[in-house]
Amino acid sequence: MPIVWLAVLAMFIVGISGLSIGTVNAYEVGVEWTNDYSPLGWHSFTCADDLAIGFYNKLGEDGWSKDFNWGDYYAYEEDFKKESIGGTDYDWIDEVDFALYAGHGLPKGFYFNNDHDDKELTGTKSHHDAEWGDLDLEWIAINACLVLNKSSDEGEWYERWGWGVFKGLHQIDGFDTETGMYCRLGEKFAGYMIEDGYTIREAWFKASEDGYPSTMRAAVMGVCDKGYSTYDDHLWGHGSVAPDKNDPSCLFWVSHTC
Amino acid sequence: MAIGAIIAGVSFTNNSIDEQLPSKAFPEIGAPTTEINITLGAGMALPVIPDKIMVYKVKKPEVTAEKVTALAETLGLIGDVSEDANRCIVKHDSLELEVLKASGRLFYRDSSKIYGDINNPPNLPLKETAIKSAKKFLSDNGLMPADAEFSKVVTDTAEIARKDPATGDVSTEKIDLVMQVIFDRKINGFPVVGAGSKLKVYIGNNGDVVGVYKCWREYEPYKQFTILTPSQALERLREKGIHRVITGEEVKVKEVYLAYYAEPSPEDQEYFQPVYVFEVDIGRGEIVEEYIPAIPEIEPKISEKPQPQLPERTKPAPDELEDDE
Repeated sequence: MPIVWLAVLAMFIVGISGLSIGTVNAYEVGVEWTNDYSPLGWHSFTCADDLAIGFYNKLGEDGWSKDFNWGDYYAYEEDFKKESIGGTDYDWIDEVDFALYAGHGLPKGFYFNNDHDDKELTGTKSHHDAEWGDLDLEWIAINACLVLNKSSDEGEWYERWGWGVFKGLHQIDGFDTETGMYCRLGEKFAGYMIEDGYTIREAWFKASEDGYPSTMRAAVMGVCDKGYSTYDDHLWGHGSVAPDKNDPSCLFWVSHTC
Repeated sequence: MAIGAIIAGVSFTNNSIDEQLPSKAFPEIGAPTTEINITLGAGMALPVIPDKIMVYKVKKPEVTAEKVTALAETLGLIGDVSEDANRCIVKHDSLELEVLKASGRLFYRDSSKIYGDINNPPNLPLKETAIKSAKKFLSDNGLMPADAEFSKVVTDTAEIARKDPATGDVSTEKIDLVMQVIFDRKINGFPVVGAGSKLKVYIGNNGDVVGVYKCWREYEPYKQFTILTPSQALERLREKGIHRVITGEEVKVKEVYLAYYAEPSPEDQEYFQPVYVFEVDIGRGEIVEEYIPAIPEIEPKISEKPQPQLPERTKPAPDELEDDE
């Protein structure tokens, strides 16, 4: 009898913990970063690795499965690209719950330094390399300039990274403006979600305020369909998370001065 | 190679070795951008700058649970202080006060209002009203520094995009979420730049103050240092390059000035050190700021950072777990 009761109790605990991950280790994180942009003739960074790995390790300490950490010549654009155009996101970015990239960016994409398979993960009003969330990805943070710029020659924010990309994805966290490479941003971002229970959006904004001057603006976009919103998503195990929605009709974009 | 040349190039000044300052202070340093021509904008002249300038020592903030409790009570937060190696924090319902030990940065916020709500947009006041509310709140709560100068008011916004499933047409709606009243400071007559010099008051519905972010390190004079001339600093900028994606072959410097640099608030900072700030038009309608240390001995030593260990890449993906959502 005691064994039966223990089994029932264990099932109950797993049941009520629901999204808690401390014991089940069910949620996965992956990061990629580029310091060395010499192949493109661009300025290189010195701590894109620190930013990404700080995030990676902090989620790992919270019980997440640390699935991959690829940097520089091992950070591949194809890891982010949809399968229908030759990408392998099904093995990497869309096979984790939370991904982070640190490197250079522009409104039309973010950049890598090698030929796997090209150097730009592109999002424009006429072409989308990315299609995220159709497998697993809920959130992706991109510490790169301008990727979530509100309006550019390449299209509005929702044309570049909107309906063509959100296929179950909950949020993209990035920057409306130029940004910097604060080495501890990833660690701070994760810490605010884990230690303070902030929503992902709040944690991104606050970490950006800590790391960057008020000439810069962080931005977050997500889904806001009627009766359904990813605006207040928390990290798994630290608050509410909206279910997946693979064909949203309403998207939000929010900016915050750092 | 170029970095080595920068580090070796310390013969611009006669500061002695024992006057060297920490070299970790400046962000965004890496290998130079290639093939970018950096020129002064039309009709622009470099400023006249004194050949020596004071470096200031940052006072270590005294952050204790008792002090944070007292400030919390002043702000209407009644609750216990949680303290760890990095911070003290008080939470009371949706109110929160966090003070960092490294810099003394305080962040008071109403978490239900500070970043705004797209589903319940606030009624924001006129700018003049927001400024008045911000100044009054800072003064009433002992948070207004003597050297704070009003800078600007910004409004953080959101946009909602809705797609008609039948036609595919998209309509958008702009929402104002929160106002930020921002103050600047000067030291020794020069502005302070960087993420770690910040005083902002957040204004929400009907002009209510819904947050304050204040990182305002105290300081005292340290020593006078000989600094680069503006033209030497411009040469340094040309060596270092622009740390953004440059798609053209030329960028133009729009303004140059001397400033003190404040590190991000989670960081310990020993000195306020001078930097040249170059405001550069990189095209695409964007002006970016580039910092060049004015005292060459404190150029960051890139080689001190070990190269990151790149894990060998293997396929297939390591993940064999079941999808969870």
